[in-house]
Amino acid sequence: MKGQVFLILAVIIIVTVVLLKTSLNIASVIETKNYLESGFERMEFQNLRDEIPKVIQISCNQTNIAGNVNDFVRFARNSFSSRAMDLNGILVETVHPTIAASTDTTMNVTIYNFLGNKLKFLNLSLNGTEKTFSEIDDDRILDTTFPINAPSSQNYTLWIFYNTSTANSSQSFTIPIEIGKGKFVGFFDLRLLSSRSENRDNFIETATLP
Amino acid sequence: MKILEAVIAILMILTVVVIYFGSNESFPEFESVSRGMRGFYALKVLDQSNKLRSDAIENNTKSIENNLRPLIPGEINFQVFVCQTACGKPSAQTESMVSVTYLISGDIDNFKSRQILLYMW
Repeated sequence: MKGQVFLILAVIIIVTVVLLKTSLNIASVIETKNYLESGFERMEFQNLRDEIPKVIQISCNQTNIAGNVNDFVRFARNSFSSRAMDLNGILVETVHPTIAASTDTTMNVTIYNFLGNKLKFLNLSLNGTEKTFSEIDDDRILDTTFPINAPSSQNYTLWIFYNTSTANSSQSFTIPIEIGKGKFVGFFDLRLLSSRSENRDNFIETATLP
Repeated sequence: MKILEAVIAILMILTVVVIYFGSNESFPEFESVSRGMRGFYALKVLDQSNKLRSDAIENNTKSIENNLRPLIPGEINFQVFVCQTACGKPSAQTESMVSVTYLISGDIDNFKSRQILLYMW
């Protein structure tokens, strides 16, 4: 056997090792794993999303419906934070008692800022009435009221404009006013951030109060 | 001369092995993710069949564990903790341990937020 056989064998082994390693395609396997992990985080986010209507349902018979929703979101935020995930967003909740036609009624509006940033400026506008606030810290809740007087059942639109040090946002949602009924309407903008993924949902929940 | 060529061949192979496999790039493992997902689904199934919330509010972890047993493969050990903020940990600590958290807000007309922590190993 000549010495060159060793070199030929070495080349064959090297080519086999290189082919094996290339066929493993670890980058694609890692990508699949990241996809699965981000899917798991989506499930956790969906758990929070599914639970919010339950909080409203549970709290419908209680006086502090917006308070319970805020408490639950704060509780979830702390839970996610202990798992290295950031739950950020903003909640705007309106509660009005049973409406009688052409009668002055007060609508309570609650804003929960958990954007992870201070709200530098916040403007709320409902049916021609505007309210402006500034410097609302992260994890702060702001309560305000709006007068409403509806001659018949109709939809009102609440406009929200805010800015933080990093972004401006303008949102609006419809508040259905029904004569003879009281309602809770909540606007939720939630975002769950981790090193792997970002999940965001923007939705409205409405409930008729007993 | 054969010895010299054999040494050169070995050095060639070693160089390629070091270059290709010496970068500490470990093959990713899927076991923890799949176990976590399985645990989460088990809690979700339990919740959908109304066997989770009342037990969680009463901190009846034994009942939750008994209900989970048919939903989790026998070779997986698990322990459940229910808490609001500070949750306990199992006394057994292994590298293969994974945990999942399931949030509930309460039950029927009882607003009580709880985290259900399921540790599996």
